[in-house]
Amino acid sequence: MATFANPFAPAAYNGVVQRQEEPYLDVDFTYVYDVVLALNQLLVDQVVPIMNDSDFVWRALILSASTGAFRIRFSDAQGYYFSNGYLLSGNFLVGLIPVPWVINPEAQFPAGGRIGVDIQDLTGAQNTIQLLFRGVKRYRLPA
Amino acid sequence: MLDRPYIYVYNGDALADNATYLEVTVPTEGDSDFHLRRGAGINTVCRQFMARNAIRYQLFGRQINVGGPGDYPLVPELVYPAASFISMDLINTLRSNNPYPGVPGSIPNYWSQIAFQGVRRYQGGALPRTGYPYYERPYTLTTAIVVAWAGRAPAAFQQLTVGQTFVVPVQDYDFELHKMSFLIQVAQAPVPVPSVNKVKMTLYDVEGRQMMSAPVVDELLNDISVNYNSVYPVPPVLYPVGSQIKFDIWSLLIDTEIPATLEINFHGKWRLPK
Repeated sequence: MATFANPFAPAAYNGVVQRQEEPYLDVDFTYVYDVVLALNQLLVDQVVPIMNDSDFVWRALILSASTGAFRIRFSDAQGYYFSNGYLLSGNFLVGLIPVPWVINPEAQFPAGGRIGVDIQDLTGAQNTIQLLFRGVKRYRLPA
Repeated sequence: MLDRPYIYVYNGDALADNATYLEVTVPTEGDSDFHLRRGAGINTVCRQFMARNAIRYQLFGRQINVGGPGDYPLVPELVYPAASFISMDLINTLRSNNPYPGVPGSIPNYWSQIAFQGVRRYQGGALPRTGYPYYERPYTLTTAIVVAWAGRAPAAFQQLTVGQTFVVPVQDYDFELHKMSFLIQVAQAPVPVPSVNKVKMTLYDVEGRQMMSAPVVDELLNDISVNYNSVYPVPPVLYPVGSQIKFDIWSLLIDTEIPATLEINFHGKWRLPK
């Protein structure tokens, strides 16, 4: 192709394409988790359901909105927890600016599966939160 | 195949605030597919957002709040065929703007826009090539221009002003442009600072093609932006020796900020003859 990469740009801006030899098709997708916590409320075993049409490959978490601090931990349907305790929401910020919190290696959730969430408010007041699970929908192609 | 960097712009300046617009579309040109790699500026248009791919499949499980990062990189890239459209829902709109506080009855300068950055992919054609053996050295072409006009015309500050065209000659060698930075010193300001929603720019390639469908707000192009991860153009573009970097500047300044000195730095590299 008659083009060349820009070394100053993130890889995405230079173009990340689907590898043709793979037996699946990836499409950029974001699962959204909305929750409103009452003061100091703890919610466990919350579920972000994965749609039945495709697996989901989780690559980053974005704190899209919150009205204060909280703590959280994630799990998959097999009971695998991604941390040995709750993570403070400040992990998803640089200063006060939300930045993508990278999941590496990426985590794959099967179609019809779930992302598990345990979450607790730390503000002592109502806390409205939105989290974005960034990644791709992975469609299996016929052999 | 040939890729040319391009930004399709959605301007929200004419929207009403606190409204919802469903199935808003940005049409793509008929001569090339568009490979979308970045969406930026959503937070300047609305509070909640939904986008769809070329077959109208939602990119988010449900509408998202736009309080997160201003940039959405697309991995893998999304392809919108020629003569298709980028579709989105704008929910609970709120247009970003620079008002004229000292002028009753004036209309603010709106800078409410979404930049869909990527490449237009052509099936034929050729990029300019360097006609001599070369090695590369980093280089910045810098230029300072005076923006002496506000975003709207005095004295009522209601009618939009038009952009002005500028050029930077490429005199010595072929120049490969990788990124741009904008600093501005408005009237009464002690020092230049990164330009944040003070101007819009339309950039042209060496063949005179617009590299964006409409003027783009400085922050969405500015390599030193604090709110966005802006790098443009991607891929880089070549300006051969003897050509010029042509661009239009549209003011978003208000009456008390003019005249302002805008410094634009075109960062890249020379291709020096061996």
